[in-house]
Order: sequence, then C-alpha cells, then structure tokens
Amino acid sequence: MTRVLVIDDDDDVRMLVRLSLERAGGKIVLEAANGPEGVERAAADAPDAILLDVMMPGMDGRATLEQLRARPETAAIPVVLLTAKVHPSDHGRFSELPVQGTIAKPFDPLELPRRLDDLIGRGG
Amino acid sequence: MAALYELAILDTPPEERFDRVTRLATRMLGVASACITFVDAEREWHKSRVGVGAAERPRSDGMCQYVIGSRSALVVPDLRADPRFASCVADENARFFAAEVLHARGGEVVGALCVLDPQPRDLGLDERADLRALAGIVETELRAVELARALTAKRDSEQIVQTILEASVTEVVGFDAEGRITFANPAATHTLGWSLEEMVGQIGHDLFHHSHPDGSHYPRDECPMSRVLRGGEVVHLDDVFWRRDGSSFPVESLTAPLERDGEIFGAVTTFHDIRDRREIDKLKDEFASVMGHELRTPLTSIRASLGLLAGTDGLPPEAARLVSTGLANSDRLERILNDILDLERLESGVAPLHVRAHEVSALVAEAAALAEASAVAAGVELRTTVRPATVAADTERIVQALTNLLVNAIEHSPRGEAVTVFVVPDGERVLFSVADRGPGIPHKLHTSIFERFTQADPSDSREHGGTGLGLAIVRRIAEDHGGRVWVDSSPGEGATFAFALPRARENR
Repeated sequence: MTRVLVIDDDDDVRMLVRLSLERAGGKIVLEAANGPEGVERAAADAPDAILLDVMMPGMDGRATLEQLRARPETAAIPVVLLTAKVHPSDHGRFSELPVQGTIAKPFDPLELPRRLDDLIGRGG
Repeated sequence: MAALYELAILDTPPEERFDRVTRLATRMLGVASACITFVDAEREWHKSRVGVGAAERPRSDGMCQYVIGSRSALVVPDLRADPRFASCVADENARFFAAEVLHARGGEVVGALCVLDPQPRDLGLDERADLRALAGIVETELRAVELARALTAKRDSEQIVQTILEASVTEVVGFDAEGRITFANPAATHTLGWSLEEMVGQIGHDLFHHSHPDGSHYPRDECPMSRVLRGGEVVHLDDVFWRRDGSSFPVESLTAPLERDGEIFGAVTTFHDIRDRREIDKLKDEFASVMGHELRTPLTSIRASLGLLAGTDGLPPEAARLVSTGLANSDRLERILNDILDLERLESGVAPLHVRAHEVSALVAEAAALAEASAVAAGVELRTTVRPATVAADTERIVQALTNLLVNAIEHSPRGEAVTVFVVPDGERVLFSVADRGPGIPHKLHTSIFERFTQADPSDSREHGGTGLGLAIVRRIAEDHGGRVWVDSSPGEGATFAFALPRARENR
C-alpha cells in the first residue's frame, strides 16, 4: 500500500482526493488541513508521497515545502504540487522547486491515481 | 490656370492698391480706360477698372485671350483696322488697345494690365516701358496680397497650435538645442509644479528628470532624451519624472526633434502621468489572480465530485446523463476561465515573449498531440503537411495558437471529415494554415470573428463547446509576434484560418 499525505486547506478537496485515490485501490490517504500540521504529520507518519496544495492561508505550499525539505525525516519524501494555477501558461513557474511534479486543479479524479503514480515513479 | 486659382483673386472686392495703378495708367498714357484683368477658362474678370463698363465678360469676347495666349505685350493701334480682332465686340467705343502681361510668383501668365481709348493711336517706346513698369507694380501688389494671406494663415495656425497646447490634457515641454526649456503648456506646469517663468531657460533633464526611480543621480548625458538632440531620433520612454515638491510619478513620454534645413534646433517632449494605468494594471492582475484561485477552488470540487460519480458503476441511465452534462459543463467553465486569464495575461504584457528559433514540424506535432483527444472524440481526422522551416517564435504561445485553431476547426467539422494543417515557408515568413470542411463563415464576420465572445453563429457556442475566446487569443499571439491572423471562408465551403510568423535568421 502507498501512503499518500494530502495537505490542502479545502475540506472538500481532501475528501475528493481521498475518494479518488482509495477507490482506485492500493493507496491509503492521510490528511492535513494546513502547512504546519502537514509538516508534523509527514515527520510523524513518514508517508510514501505528499500531495501539497500551493495556495493556502498562513504557511503556503512553498513555505511548507521548504520546511519539509529542511527536516531530515521528511527531506526525501516525494512531493507533488496541487496547483490552482493563476494561469495555464504558467508552465515552469514551479519547475525550479524541488518537487516530483505538479497536478493542476481542477483535476480529473479518475486520472488522479495514475498521474500521481507516474510522477512519484510508482506507475506500473 | 492653377497659378491663377492659387492667387485666389477672382471675384474679390475692388482694392485701392490696384485701383491706384489703373488710375495712374490712364493719366500717364493719356487713355480713356484701363483695367487689371484675370482670365480663366470662361471669362475675363477685372480686379480693377477705370472707364470700363462690366466687371466681367466671356473670354471669347475680349482681347485678353490673345495676350494670355501669346504670353507677351500686345499693342493694337486700331482695332477696326486689324482683321485679327474682328470678333472682339465688347468695347464698341474702343479703337486703341494695349496690354502688358501679369505674371504669378512662379512666372505663369495669369492676367493683363490693359489700356483702351476711343481714338486710334500707338505707344512710343517710353510709353511701352511705362506700361511694363505699371504691370510690375501690379505684380508687386499681387505678391503683397499673397504674403498678407500667408501671414494670416500662419497666425491662424499659430493660434491653433497655441490653443491645442493650452487646451491639451497631455503635458508638452519644448527645448532648445542645448536642452533648455523654451516653453511648457499649462498641463505640464500644473503636473510638474513649477510656473512657466521658473521653467523657461532651465535644463529640462536637471529640472524634472534628474534622478532614477530609486532616487540615485541620473547623469544628463545618460538620458535617452539627449539622443533626440544629438541624433534626431524619436525617443519613447517609460520612466519617472520629478515634481517641484520632490515627489516623483511614473510617466510615458515621447520626445521628437525640431528640425530646420536639416539642423536640429530643439525638441518637444509630450508626456503623461501613467500612475492610473499602472494601478489599473495592478488591479487587473490581482483580479485575475483572485479569480484564478477563487473560482477554481469550487470548480475543483464540482469537477472531482462529478468525475467520481461518473466513474461509479450502476448509475440509473438518467442520472448518468445528468452527471455527464454537469461534467461537460464544468470542463467548459474551466476552459473559459483559462481563456479569460490567458487573454488577460497576454494583453497586460506581464508575460514577455521568449522568442527563439524553432523548427516548425516540432511545433505542429506538439499542437496536434494536444488536439488529438478532441479530434478522436469528434471523429475528425487530423492531417498535417509541413515543409521544413525555422521560425522565430515563443513556442508555448505558438503551440497555444495552433492548438486553438485546431480545436476550433475540429469543433466545427462534421464527423468523418478531416482538418488539415499546412505549414509552408513564404519569403521572409512562414505561413501556418488550418483548414476545415465545416459550415464556413460569412464574409461580414471575417474580422469580428477574432473579437472576444464572437461566434459565426451565436447558437453555436453551446453546441460546439467553444469559449468564444480562442480566436481572440490566436489574434493576440499572432500580433505579439509581429504577424496577423486572417480567415478565408465562404458559407458552405469550410474555413481556412492562417497566420504568418517571421522566419528565423539562420534559415534565410
């Protein structure tokens, strides 16, 4: 089983990501509703991958990512950004960040499990 | 005749400056009548006349036609004895006629100074010289009339320029060859805070352009506006100017040289405060970013919920149809949102073009791959004919433009038809075209189709799922690359959309 931590301030999005990933099978979804909670959860539970929302109040996705990369116990966990991009030609805006890839919102829940596997290198 | 009309003297009232000459002519030459006559295609018209009845008569009745025709002085001692002038009937009393030609400024013969008398006679050499001298006075007076008219016109145009400067909401400042201020209009003195008296004579750069936006010193010889005075170039700037109170404001300015006989003797700068525009741009950007996030967040939940529902087995057929409708519309909403943000971004200019040389086949392949899913869903075949060429372009934008044209063509194609992409080098340009076999576009819409939210058939958008923004985005991208987009189509004959990009240098 792949354990995926979803860090997103939107309850609906977390619920829908959970449904999407768990229904496809092979994944267990952990949740965090903000950046600090996400960092703690990642350090405590050592998930196999993190789906991280970029725009969150308080500590946003970038800051959360910095903390994740700074702590030895979370530094190596693959991170995929969930971006409500301001603009579709923003390709590359996140390319300099140390992440495995990005998935744009709105996402197709039937595609999400496969996209995530592809990005974190667990695809069949 | 053009020289005569340029004088604009026909049908003007009598003037003493000319009447004086005709009076003098009668006295000096001892004749009964004299006139200053101008001749157009139909008539001879007297600007001044002494002892001559009518102010004008048909050209064919008078003597002046001969004078104008021969372009030289004419003396006829006795009209009745001279068979050449038998047809000249107007002056029954006149037996003697003499005339000297009148020249316009450019040397053209436009009229004559004529003298007449009831007694046959001749003119001696001195008298002929006097007549020539009198004609010279008339010519001098004609020049004076023209000069007075030109002065009035100049005063009028100075008045117009003055009024434009005073009424203008745009700031205007004039400089001499050294960059010293020679004038400033009220908008400029108001915006900058100095009075006209305080400004005139100051070096403009030192007065209101002395520092960079960060406050650091801006040396005079580094000022791009100095290139106007040195090299005569027109300089367009986005910069800051400084007021009398020490505050600064963002400006857009245009400086152009003043030239006389190839010498630059000064310059004129027009400028305006663009703070409002900057603020509007900032607001638009913020709005776009908020809309991007705030609309996308609920859309994400709607899209994901419907997506999960659609993937659920055993839904009743009616529910499945409703879910599928909801799904298609949330996808459409996302496309509209993306297109609005795209267009806003392109128009605001915040994302500059990254122009590099690209092989066209790679661009077409990428766009075709992006449009493939739409083509499969619509049962439309994609064909490409690409001749090798390299273009100077921003790949991402061009792929976006091509994809928009492809998706547009696919959406309007009947199932089973093909959409064809042609790319061919054409001189200094590379021509991209996308042809479909759809219903075509009426000629009157060939321009407006590129406006936002315009469809060839307004009932179309729902049926085809277009956003009404795709072609506006294509136009913007083509124009940003220094090109344009156009359509060739007639109803019932399909449509071909095309744009041209500059060829990359190394390939020429």
